[in-house]
Amino acid sequence: MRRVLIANRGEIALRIIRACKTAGLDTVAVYSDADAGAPHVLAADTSARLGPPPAAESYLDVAALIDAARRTGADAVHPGYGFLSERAHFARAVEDAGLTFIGPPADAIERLGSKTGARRLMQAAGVPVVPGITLDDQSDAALTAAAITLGVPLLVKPASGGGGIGMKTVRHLDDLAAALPQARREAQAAFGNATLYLERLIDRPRHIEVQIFADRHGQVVHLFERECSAQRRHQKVVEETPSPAVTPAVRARIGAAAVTAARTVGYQNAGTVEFLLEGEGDGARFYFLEINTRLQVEHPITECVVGVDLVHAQLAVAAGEPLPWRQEALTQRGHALECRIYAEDPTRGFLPQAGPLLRYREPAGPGIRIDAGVVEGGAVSVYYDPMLAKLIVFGEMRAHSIALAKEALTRFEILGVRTNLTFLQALISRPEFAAGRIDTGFIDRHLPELCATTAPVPPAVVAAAAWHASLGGAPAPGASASAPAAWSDPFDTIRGWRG
Amino acid sequence: MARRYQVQHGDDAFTADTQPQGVVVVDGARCTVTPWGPSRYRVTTPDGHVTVVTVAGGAPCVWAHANGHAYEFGVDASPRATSAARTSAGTMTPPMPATVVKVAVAAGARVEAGDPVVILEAMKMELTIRASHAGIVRAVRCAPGDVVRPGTVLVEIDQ
Repeated sequence: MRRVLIANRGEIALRIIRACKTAGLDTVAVYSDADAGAPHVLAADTSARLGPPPAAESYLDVAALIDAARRTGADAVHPGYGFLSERAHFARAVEDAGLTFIGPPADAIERLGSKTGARRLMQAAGVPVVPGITLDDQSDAALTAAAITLGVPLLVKPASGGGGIGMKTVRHLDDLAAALPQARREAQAAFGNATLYLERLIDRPRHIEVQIFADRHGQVVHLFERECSAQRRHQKVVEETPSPAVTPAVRARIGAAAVTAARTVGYQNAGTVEFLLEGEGDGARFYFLEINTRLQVEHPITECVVGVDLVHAQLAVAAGEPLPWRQEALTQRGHALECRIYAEDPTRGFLPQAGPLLRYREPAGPGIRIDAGVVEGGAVSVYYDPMLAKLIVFGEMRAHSIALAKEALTRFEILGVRTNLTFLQALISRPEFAAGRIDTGFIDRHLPELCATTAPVPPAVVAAAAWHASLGGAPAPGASASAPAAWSDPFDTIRGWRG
Repeated sequence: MARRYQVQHGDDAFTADTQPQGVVVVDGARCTVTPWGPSRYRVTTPDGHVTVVTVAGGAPCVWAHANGHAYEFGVDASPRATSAARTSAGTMTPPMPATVVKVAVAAGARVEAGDPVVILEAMKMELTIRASHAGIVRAVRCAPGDVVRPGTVLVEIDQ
C-alpha cells in the first residue's frame, strides 16, 4: 500500500488524508464540480474530478471512482463514512480492480447490509435483538397483520440502510397505512431497496454503541462504548464516552457481545456495533440494532479516551498487519464528548442551510479537538450533508468535559449561515444532560425549550451591526438566494501555485 | 455622516442612528463603537459595559457574533421603503434547498388548505409542501428533478 484514494469529502476526507500523511502514504482526493478547490482537495497530494455536483453523479459513482484510482495510480481506497462506505458492491469493485479496500471484506458488508439478515445472524449467535418481524411478503396486508401481532408503538424500518432515513414511528395502527408508502419511497430513493421490516419500539431507550476492530489474523477487540442518545429524528447530535449509564458489569457484557457479533460475520477492520439500552444499573438490558461497517462520525471520542488513532490502525490492518493492541491493554481514561456542528436552523425544524462562510473561527485550547471540513471564505452547498465541523472535548471526568464543551461552543464563530451552535449550548446545559439522563427521545420532547431564542439582543450588538453597515460592508454573496452557492474559496487563488 | 438604520432581528426591530466618531444610538441608548481588529469592534454602552462584537456581511444582511451567540440582522438604511413582500400570498416556495420528487397537483386543480402540493427531498429526507390556503392551482412552476431554493416559486394558488 503506497497511495490511498479517499472516496469522500469534507471533514472525514481531511481526517483520513492527515492520517495517511503521518503513515507515510501518498493521498488522492476526489471531488465533484461543487467541491473543486475545497479544503480536502487542496490537502491531498493529487486530486481527480469525479463529475457534476449531485452525489449520484460524483461521490456515488463507482465507475468514476475506480477510474480515478487507475488514473492517479492509487493502490488502496478509503471510503470514509456515508456515500459508498457501506455498499458491498463498491468494496467488491475496489477488490476486483486489484486495489485494497480499507474496510471490511465485501461479503461481511453484504451480510450486515440487510438489517433483517443481520438480525437473524445475531439471534443465531446468541446476541440479543429487539423483538421484531421480518416478512418475505411485503404487501400492505401482510405488514399490517404483522403490526397487529407485534403491537404498537412500533418502528417501520428499511431493511437496508441506516441513519434513520425512511424510519417511521407508528403509535396507532391507523397511522400504518400512511407510513408504509412513505417509508418505501424513502428507502427506495436512499438505498435502492424498498423492503421494510417492523420492530418493537423500546420505550425511552439509550443508544449505546461499541467500537470494534478486527485484523486478518483472527484477532478481534472492542474499544468500549459510546453513548449517542442525544438524537433528533434519529440523527445523532452529541456523543460521549464513557456512557454515564453503562456500569462496569454491563460494559463487560456489551463489549463481549460486540466481539461475538464481529466474529460471527468474519469482520475485519473498524466497525461499530449499535445497541439499544433499556433499564438502569447492572440489570440494564441491551439489544443489537446493527453493525455499521465503517468508521463512525463520532470515532474521535474513542480515540481520546482510549488513546488510539483509529484511522492509523485502519491503514495498518488493511495492509495486513496485526492489530496494534491487545484487549487486556486497552483502558478508558477520562471522558470525551463530541458536538456535531451543522448548518441548519433549529428554530425551523432543523432545516439544512446553504450559504457563504463569511467568518469561520474555531476555538482552541487544552482538551479541544476540532475535525472540520470547511474554511472561512468557503461555502456550504446544497448538495451534501450540512455538517460543518465536530467539536471534540476531552476532560478528566464527565463534568469537566461538559464544561469544556460549553465554553468552546461560545467561542466558535460561524457567520454567514445559520448553525445549531446555540441549540447545542442549550442542550448540554440542561440539568438532565448534566445528570446523564438523556434517552433517544429527549430532544424531540424538549424541542421548544431547546430552540427558544434566549435573551433579548443586546443594544451593543445592534450598534456594531449598524456601524458595520454604515461602512458599506459587502453584502454576503448569494444573499439573494437566486443561484446555488458556488465555492468562493480563498485558496482558489493559490491552486495554480500548488500545481 | 449621520444616518438612520432600521435593524431587524427575528420579530424584534431596532432603530440605530449612526453619528460621527463611532457613536451609534440604538433606541435611545448611546453606544460607542471602536474598531478592534479586522471585522471586530469594541462597543461601550451607556453603563460603561464593553462588548466585543465580530461582524460579517453588509446591508441588507449583517451577521454578528457576541457573548457566545451568532445574530443575523436585516439592516435597512431607507426606512421609508417598506420591505415589499418577497413572495405573494398565493405562491408556495421551499423552506430550504431541495430537489423536487413529485408534483401532487396540476394547473386548474382545486386544493384545500393543507393538501400536499409538492414533495421535496433534501438531505435524503422527504418533505411535503402543503397548500397554505384553499383555492385553484393557477400554475405549476417546477417538475420532478428540479433543484429548488427558498424563493423559487413551486406552485401558484389563486385565493
